[in-house]
Amino acid sequence: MNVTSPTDAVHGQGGSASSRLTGSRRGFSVRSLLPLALVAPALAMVLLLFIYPLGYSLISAFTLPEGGLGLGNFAKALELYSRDMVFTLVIVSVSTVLIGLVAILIGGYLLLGEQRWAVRILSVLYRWPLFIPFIVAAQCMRTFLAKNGLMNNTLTELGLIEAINTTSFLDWRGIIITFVWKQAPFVTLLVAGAMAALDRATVEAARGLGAGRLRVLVQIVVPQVMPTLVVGLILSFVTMMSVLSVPMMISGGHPTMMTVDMAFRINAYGDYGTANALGFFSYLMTGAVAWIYLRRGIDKEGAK
Amino acid sequence: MTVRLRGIQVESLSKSWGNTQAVKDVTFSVESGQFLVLLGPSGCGKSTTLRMIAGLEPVSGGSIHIGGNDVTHAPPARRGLSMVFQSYALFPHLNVAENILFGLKVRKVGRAERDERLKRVADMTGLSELLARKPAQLSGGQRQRVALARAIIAEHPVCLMDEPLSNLDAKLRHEMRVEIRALQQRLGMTVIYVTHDQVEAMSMADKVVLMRHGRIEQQGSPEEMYARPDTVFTATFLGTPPMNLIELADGAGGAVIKGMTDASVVAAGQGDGRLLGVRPEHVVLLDEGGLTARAESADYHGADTVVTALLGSQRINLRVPGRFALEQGAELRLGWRAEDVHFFDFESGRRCEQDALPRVA
Ligand SMILES: Nc1ncnc2c1ncn2[C@@H]1O[C@H](COP(=O)(O)OP(=O)(O)OP(=O)(O)O)[C@@H](O)[C@H]1O
Ligand SMILES: [Mg+2]
Repeated sequence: MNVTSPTDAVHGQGGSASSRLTGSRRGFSVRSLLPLALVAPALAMVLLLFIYPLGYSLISAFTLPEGGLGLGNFAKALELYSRDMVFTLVIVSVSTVLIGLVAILIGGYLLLGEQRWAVRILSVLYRWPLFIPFIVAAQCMRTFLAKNGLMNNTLTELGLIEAINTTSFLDWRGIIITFVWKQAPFVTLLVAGAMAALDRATVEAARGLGAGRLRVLVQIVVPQVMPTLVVGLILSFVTMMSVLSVPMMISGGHPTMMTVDMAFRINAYGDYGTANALGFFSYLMTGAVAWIYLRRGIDKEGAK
Repeated sequence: MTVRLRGIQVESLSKSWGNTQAVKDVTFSVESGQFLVLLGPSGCGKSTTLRMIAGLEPVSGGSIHIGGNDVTHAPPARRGLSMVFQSYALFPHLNVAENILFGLKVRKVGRAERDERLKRVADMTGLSELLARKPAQLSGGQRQRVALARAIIAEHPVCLMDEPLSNLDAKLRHEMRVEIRALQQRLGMTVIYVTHDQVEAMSMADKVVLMRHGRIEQQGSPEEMYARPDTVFTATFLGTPPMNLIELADGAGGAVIKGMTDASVVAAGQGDGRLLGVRPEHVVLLDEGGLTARAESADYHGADTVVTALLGSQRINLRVPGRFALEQGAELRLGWRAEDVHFFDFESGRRCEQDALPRVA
């Protein structure tokens, strides 16, 4: 699907352009081949590096260990890892929602904040995690969130909690915190850009009509940057679905995320069938999200 | 206690960003129910002044009173005014009705009253059929009406408008000018209206404040400003084509027109360093006498023709009714009435009192 639509579009354009130029639809002219020549290398790369492995792993998912086609791998994946699938979906969904909230709050403060210096500092600081790889982020979080990590030590020092009562956050909470810390800046970057491009007068008009800053953010600014926000969140959702290092380092035991299970099936048993079946499920999840987004876009077009 | 409890008083208002001073020591007042136009060329500080009155821009100095209250540092919503932006600033994701009602919802006005007010305002602005549309589905003029409706539904006594008509074509502009003025008078609103278009200023204003480089050049009723400009800038900014300014020189028996060989005296007293100003519609063609000029070109406008002629080496425009059959290089005899003549100092650009000689008429 990814591959056919762009080529269709390019081919269609090329065809009609050349027929306009030559005044005829018969035969190949060099001109009508040119678009194809331009697209061919990219197309070949997509086929070679994406479609082929994807098709291969799909086939592998449906291939039974003892040979022949069947749903055995899926049954096994569901039996062993259905809990992890739910765990993964919940973690990534919760993270996505939190990322959205953080991005709106930071972007909103950058747009509407009245303390100039605070706005300036925040606009520099929030981007930092963008430049840190997931695995480093996970390592930082490990030292920060552990039972005797920086966070608990600080809280104890401050007398906010007793040393005995500290708990490790290195479980689902740690994964969510890491994901949000790492991905929120990315979505904020997109959202803040979209907010900066808004007609500022709409904000001023709303304030002039008596709306407070929170209302302006929720009712005027966010609806206008919604398309950008949704794109950012979907990209984050897909990214988080595929991150291995974070769940591996922060909470590798049960329950854990599907990426860890896949790595385990392959490394421990060479069981590509079940790993690919798990991969197929995660593809369904991201596919569902993408579908929701696309449908929303079509509805909007229809409304216009 | 002062008696000026209503209206708007702006005193010694100034605004600077770093080293650029956009507004300097601006003082004016608007009476309740008056229509004041802030006029001036691009970049002279009109919008900045208006935005400070609206509370969208903090002031660097001076004070603002609205309805007797000091609102210099009050937030926009506390000033009891509404604003129409040049870009209209409609909320693109809300339909026309939601746009108009936004302010009332914020202020928690009850549903029944909201609906009633919406109906009234929509009728008034001719938007009744369009309430369900999004701004993107409206024409420029319709968007302008929505912006206007959103401002007047608040029923604030004061409305600020920043070049609200500049995105419209000439015909629509004329219609909207009349409509806005009618609406303002019907509702008794106090309006401060920003424009760089002197025609708008002349036709709509009760009072004009003309700005230049962040300062007030002159203020007064349109008639006063037109009839008695204090400076060369005011004289040439108001009126199309602008007032003729003719350089004078000292001659035998008084001031003569600089560079004219058959120098007839046009004014008593000094001529060097002085400018004589006369509006094109005040220059008349004479059968005999007057000053001799050479016809150069004619610009036909329908109702009248603007003829350009050379008075010695200086250009002068005159307005002649109907169509003027121009014979290039033909000799014209020009004159004007003494009371239609203005004098300015060349250096300072300021008005000076001098007697025009009546015999020129
Ligand atoms: N935010 C700002 N920072 C710095 N300078 C500004 C700012 N806003 C306006 N200025 C400057 O202040 C001066 C006055 O601007 P203003 O917008 O009030 O002009 P204006 O009279 O409304 O012009 P126009 O008719 O083009 O809208 C200009 O020289 C402008 O460059
Ligand atoms: Mg302006």
